[in-house]
Amino acid sequence: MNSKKHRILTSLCLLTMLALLVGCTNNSSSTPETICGTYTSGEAEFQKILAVDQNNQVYYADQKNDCFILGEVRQQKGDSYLISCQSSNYGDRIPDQEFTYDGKGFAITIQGERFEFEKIDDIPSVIGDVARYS
Amino acid sequence: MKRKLLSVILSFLFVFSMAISVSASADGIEDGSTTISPRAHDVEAKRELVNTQTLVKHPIGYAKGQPSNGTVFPSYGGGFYWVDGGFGNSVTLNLNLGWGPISTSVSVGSTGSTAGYFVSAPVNKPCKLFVYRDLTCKRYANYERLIGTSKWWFKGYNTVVTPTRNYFEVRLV
Repeated sequence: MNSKKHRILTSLCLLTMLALLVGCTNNSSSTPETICGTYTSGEAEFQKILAVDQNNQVYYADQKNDCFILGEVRQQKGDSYLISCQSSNYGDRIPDQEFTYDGKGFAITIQGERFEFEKIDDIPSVIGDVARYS
Repeated sequence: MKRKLLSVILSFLFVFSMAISVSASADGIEDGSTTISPRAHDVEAKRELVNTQTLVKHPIGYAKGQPSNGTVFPSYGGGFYWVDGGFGNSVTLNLNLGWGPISTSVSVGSTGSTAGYFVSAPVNKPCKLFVYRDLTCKRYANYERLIGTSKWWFKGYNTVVTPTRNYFEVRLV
């Protein structure tokens, strides 16, 4: 009899702990980071600025080389994205490629060189006239 | 003795789990257009999105921290670093929206730091950094009701203005 009570109490205890765990897990869930925003790579005149707007359009500015590229990103699966700039005049500088976005930044290849872009703002930014990006 | 100990542990766990559920349900707004958690013990509030308007490339002004006669960069590779926000770096804008005029405060940011966005400037020409922003304006209708009652009372409208894109332009002065 005593052993039965003990088993019931233990089960109750385990169920409570489970409920507690579920509660804590739900409470700590957070909104996934959006890729929309502005990313930079490098400093000063060598800084490259890549912005992704709310419509997944990409604005890439390499001011030193007077290179402004328009493109787009598409979410592939989870944190994997595809960047494509082929419709732009200088699009061949950024070949179509998949990259992984970890909520803080990503790395892509531009003209054969790997660049790490760090997110510095959730708001996309365009340098100069939008018409320059083509 | 064991039973007592077990009862104490169980009671503690129940109380703790209840506390967590209450805290989770009182976290407040879940998204931009849904119910806001009770503000007081007897009143709850909600807001509903009624209008949205985006002002594209709205002029905000010259970034703060620049001399009035502009900056001269004596060699190639010079330019402005711009950062958003900062104390005293907001300007008041009067916006004419579809639902009437509003006055709002928007950050114009500042130059002078050594981090942020870099915007190239021409050589040997006095210039200043000008900022434009897309401003997304959302108008909400606000309601309140006594908890336990069904009728919502309209309390008024408010408009929330959020910058959704920045544009930078270097202007010669």
